[in-house]
This record gives sequence, structure tokens and C-alpha cells, in this order.
Amino acid sequence: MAGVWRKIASVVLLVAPAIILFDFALKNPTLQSVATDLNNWAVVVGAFALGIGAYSLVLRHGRMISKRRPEWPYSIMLLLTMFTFIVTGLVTGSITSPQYNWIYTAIVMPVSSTLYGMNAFFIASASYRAFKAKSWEALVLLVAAIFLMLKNAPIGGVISPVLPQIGGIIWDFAGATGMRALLIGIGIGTLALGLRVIIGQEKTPLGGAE
Amino acid sequence: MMIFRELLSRNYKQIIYLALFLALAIPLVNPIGLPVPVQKTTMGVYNKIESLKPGDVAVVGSNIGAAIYAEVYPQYIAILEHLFRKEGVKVLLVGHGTEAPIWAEKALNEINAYGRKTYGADFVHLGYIAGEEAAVAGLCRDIHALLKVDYKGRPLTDLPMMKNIKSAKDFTIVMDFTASADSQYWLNQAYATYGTAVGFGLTAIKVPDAYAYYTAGQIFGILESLSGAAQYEVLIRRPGMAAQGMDAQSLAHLLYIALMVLCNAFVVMERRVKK
Amino acid sequence: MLIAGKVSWALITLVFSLAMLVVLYLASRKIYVPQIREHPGVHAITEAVGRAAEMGRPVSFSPGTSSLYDTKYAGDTAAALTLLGYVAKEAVKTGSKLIVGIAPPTVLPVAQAIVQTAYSLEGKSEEYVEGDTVRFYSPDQWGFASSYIGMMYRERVAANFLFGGHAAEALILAETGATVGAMQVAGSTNVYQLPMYVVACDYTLIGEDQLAAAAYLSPDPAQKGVIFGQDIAKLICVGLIVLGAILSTAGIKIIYQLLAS
Repeated sequence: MAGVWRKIASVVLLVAPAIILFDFALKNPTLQSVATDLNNWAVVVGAFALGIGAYSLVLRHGRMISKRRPEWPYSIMLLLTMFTFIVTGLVTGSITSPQYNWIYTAIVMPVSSTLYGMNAFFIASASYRAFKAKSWEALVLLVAAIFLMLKNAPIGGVISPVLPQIGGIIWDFAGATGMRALLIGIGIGTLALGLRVIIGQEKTPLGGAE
Repeated sequence: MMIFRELLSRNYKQIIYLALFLALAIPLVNPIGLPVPVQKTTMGVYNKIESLKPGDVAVVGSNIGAAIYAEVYPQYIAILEHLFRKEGVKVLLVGHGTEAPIWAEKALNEINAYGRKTYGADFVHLGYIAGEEAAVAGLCRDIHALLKVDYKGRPLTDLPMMKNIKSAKDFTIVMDFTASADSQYWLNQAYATYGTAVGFGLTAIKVPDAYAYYTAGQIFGILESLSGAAQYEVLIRRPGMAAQGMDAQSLAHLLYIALMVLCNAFVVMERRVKK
Repeated sequence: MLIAGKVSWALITLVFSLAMLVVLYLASRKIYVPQIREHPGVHAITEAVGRAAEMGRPVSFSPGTSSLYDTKYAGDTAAALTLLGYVAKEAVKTGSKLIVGIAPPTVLPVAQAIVQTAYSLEGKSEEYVEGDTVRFYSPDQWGFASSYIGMMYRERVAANFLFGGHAAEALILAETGATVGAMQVAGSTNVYQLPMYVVACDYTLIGEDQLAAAAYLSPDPAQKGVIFGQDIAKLICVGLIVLGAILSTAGIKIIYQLLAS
């Protein structure tokens, strides 16, 4: 039975992308209509995929509570918080209601922004540890980093108008150039993966291990 | 100096974190008032929005969440304010993340959108649409096939401005505010397919990626993190939280530079001691 | 039939796809299997796992916070899962405890299958602990980050691997690994996070190095074919860039007009 579903999935993985690709390049009303429907189904599937995350969390933490795994009280806290948000959203009918906003502002905002803000501190300690000019390349990296920071912060222009200009030159001729090369590589890699999925070479979307 | 070096080598994280905290906190409490020079990427966005005429449609996408709101939300507010000052420009708000509608409504209330313009005729909020690139593709192909109602559940057919907005062919510009891949989605689906003018409001870390598209002329401008927001606030003469944060950012950058110079100074000193 | 302005796109996509498909076919049929040079990152992976075994501390692995259906980083995730197979095999061989942290729920069954297979092949199926060896933390980026760093602190990991598509949490994970004294090997095609890995990790596989290392370690010849196919596509890009630059300088804009839809 699993084999039949994999075969069906393989056919879908071939036909659906082909329709979307051909629709991009060809002018055909029938193709366009089919491609639009396929696209809209993908949106619906995407919405259901959100539920998978919640389901997986409930399953995992429910198991941790029932088997009294280490730190199981935190699992209770997690599930309680999750259901508080879900129930509040459902009862008030909107995630922009004052009640939902209150718990969002009280819990999610401080936690998320703290974790993201930790990056600033970690960058400081990582820079202190790592930016040692032990070679000529490291020295060039260090100098370039300094000029780029002075370009981004207003204080660079205040110290001297030349500093942000040098930073801009480094950015335009070195930074953007290198980034472009990486973007081309990523684009080709994405195309390659897409081709592998379409022709059935890539098994991981079908849940198979190599 | 040697005592300081000893202290730093043993407890360098604590000292660095404390110094950074002070460098960020002090200017927020006691602003220095450094000038904010406007970069060409910000000017590109400003000029594009200034060139909008009555009847033009501006799509404002966002994936703002609690993590990135400090960098991107001030940009979002500034752009919405500018758009709402333009007479006759229609604004369509779209969310690409689960938290996006919360920030969209917050922003609309902050600029008094519901008080100064008519919902449905001047602006519409479509809410969060799941599906990542498929959602953006669906919006660009045929909005009415993808969605039947807006964020508040009102049928799109009841909203006057949506009668003339069917696909990306009807969009004049798209501005996307994000730290995620949805900026790429708008490039792929709106710019590459329909030639729609696209601009971004991004966190600092995503700017290098977008800059390659800017120099190639594929996007009309970028608001680069908090400094982009501060520059835009200066341009539209509406100082907000971004302008306040620039002093803190400047001092923090100076601290990073000082740390990098210091660690290299210690390396040189160590080499001399060994000799 | 073809939409005006899409001709160049169709042509380029066709040429690139043909190049990759031909090489993929030759490799999968073992008619021609390209040789990929041994990547120094593979040594770093082996060294890190060995270090963990000597210290008697666990090995942690994260295949990223992007799913297998992500538009940009699905390739990263697939490569990370191949590398997970290798790390799991090495960990089981050396007797190190392996902890895999998972963010996207769609990656969980695949990672479980890969790790279980590694344990079975070494004849140590009993050492695989359901729900403990491969742990699903959270689909949310920050929920995953806080869980993973908590695990690193509690378990005092000696080797930490960060592959696949990580976003802003990359520096937090890497810096925490540095704080607990873990040897860290990281890799990503996410260009925004590479600088973070470079400053905080002992070894970084930059961009396609991660994909090449995965292809090198994978028993599947088709993966090697894919890497070679991508190299051919890149060579075509380089040719177009050089030719375009020379012609544009001479005032001939044919390449530019061909590519600019």
C-alpha cells in the first residue's frame, strides 16, 4: 500500500511542477487555469502544515508528561501556554483582539525579542574572540569590517565623511560581488534539487532515507 | 593596561556584555542627536512612493514578528504613513507570517488609518496567507481566486477598491518588510513574472543579499534595518523610535570596533612579551 | 505560444537542466561517476566526533530549521540529513551519545529513520532511544533555539554540528557551543549566517562546500552527478559573464538583451 502511495506521489511530483513551469513560459488559458488551481491548493496545504507543528508538539510533550521524562513540568507549561493562546484566539475570534494582544505582548514579545537581541551580545563576544589579525587575509577582513561598520552607523559620517565612502566602495565592489556569486550558486543548486525531485531521484520529500 | 588585559581575558564576556548594555542604554535615555545621512537605497524607496499617482496600487507585504519588530516595524510605520499621505493611492496589506496581522493592525491604528481613510475604498488588509511562495504566486495570479474574504471576514466583492485589483498586473509597487525569504518570493513572482516594481524593508542581515538585486536594477530601493527606518523618518519629517535608536547603534558600533582593535592590541603585546 | 520576454528564461533553464540531467543520468547508471575531492570538512567532522568520544561527552547535531519543502533551503536540509547519516555512523562507532535536535516536523521522521538505520547497521539498535536520540523541539525558530541551547548546556556537548538552513538563531547556537567548549563544524548556503559560523565555529563549510561534502559522503552516485552538473551550469554562467562583460565594454549588448527579460 505504501508503495502505491509513493508511486502516486512521484507522479504528482512530476506533473504539478511541469504545469507550473510551462505556465510561466507559455500563453495558454487552460494551462493558466489549472496552474492557478494547483497554486491555490498549495496555499491550503500550507495552512494545514501549520497544524502539523502544533500536533507534533502536543504528541511529544504529551509523551514526556505521561512517561515522566526529565523536565516534564516544563512540558505542562508549554502545553498550557499553547492552549491558552489557541483558546483565546478562538473565543475572541481574532488574533488582534485586546485579550490576545495582551498575552502576546506579555509573553511572546519579550521572549522572542530577547532571544533575537542576544545576537548583539554574542556578536560582540564572538568578534572579540575571532577578529585576530593572525594573517594578511584576517587583517584585510578586519579592516573591511571596520569600514563597513562605520558606513552603516551615522557616527562614521560624523567622524569623517570619507569613512562611509570607503565603506561604500568596499561594499559595492567586494561585498555585493561576492554575494552575487553565492546567489548564482544557490539558484543553480535550487534548480538542481527541483530537477531531482521532479524526476524522482530525490527520495527525502517522499519520506525515504538515503 | 596589563591588569585590564588580565581581567578581560578571564571575564571577557561579562565585561563586554556590560559595556554593550551601557553603550545601548545610555543614548536611549540621554540622546546625543547625531545627524542621520540618507543613503541612496532609502532615497530610491522615497522617490518611488513620491512618484505614485491617484489610482496607483501599493501592496505592502510583511512578515514582522516579535523577534524582528525592533528593526523592521519602524520602517513599516514610516512607509505606511508616507503611503497614507498620498491622495488616491490604494494600499493593500498582506501578511506572510502568523504574527504579521497583529503588527499590521497595530501600525494601522498607530497612524490612525481608520480615522483618516476609508477601509475598503482606500486600503484593505488581507491578513496572513499561508503557503509561502505559493501564497505570493496566488496573489499575483488572481487574488479573487485565492481569497474570498479579507482579514476581518468581509467579502472582497464588497470592498470597492478590490473591484479593480485582480492580479499583479494591477499592482503599481510592492514593498515587503521581512527578515525571511518572502522578499525573494515577491521578486520571483511579481517582478520576474509581471515586471512589478518591488522594494524591500529588511533586517541588516538580509541587506547584502538584496543589494545584489538593487545594483542590478531589479528592486527600486531598500530600507536597511533601523538606520533605513531612521533615514525615512527624516525624509517624511516624522521622527519616531528609529531616529532615537541611531545614537545607540552608533555607540554600539564604536564599541565593536574598539573590541576588535583591543583584541589585536593584546595579541601584539603578547608577542612582544614572548620575545 | 511563448510569452515575450520569457524566451531567454526558457532557453537558459533548458540548457542548465539538460546539462544537469545528462550528468545525473550518467552518474545514476554508473556510466560516469564524477570524482569529488575529499573535503577537509569531512576530516573536521571525524575529528570532532573522536574528540567527543575521548571526552566522554555527547555529540549534538542540528539539520536546520528549514523544511524539506522550503524553496531556498531544501537542498541544504537534504545535504544536512546526508551528513547526519555520516555523523550518526561515526558516533555509534566511537560509542558517543548522539543528540539530534529537530525543528520542522516534516524532517523528524526522515531524521529518525536515518539515525535508526545507522544504529542498526553497527549492530547497536538497543542504544537508539526513541524520543531521546532524535528530539523534536519546536517548529518555531526561537522555541527551537532556546531548547537546543538548553540541551547543549545541560548535556555539556563536546561536538556540535550545525548544518542545513539556520536563520538568525545560528549565532546563538554557535556561540553557546563555543561557551560549553564544544568543537563545532557548521555549514550552510545561507549567506547571512556564514559570517556568524566563521567567527564562532572551528570549521565552516561555506556555501556549496556543504553540498559537496554531503555528495562525497553519500553512497548515492547521483548526488555526485548533481554536484558535477551544477559545476557545469556554473561554468556556463562564468562564460556568459565574461563574454557579456567583454561585449558590453565593446558596446555590443546582445548578451545583456538576451538575459534581461
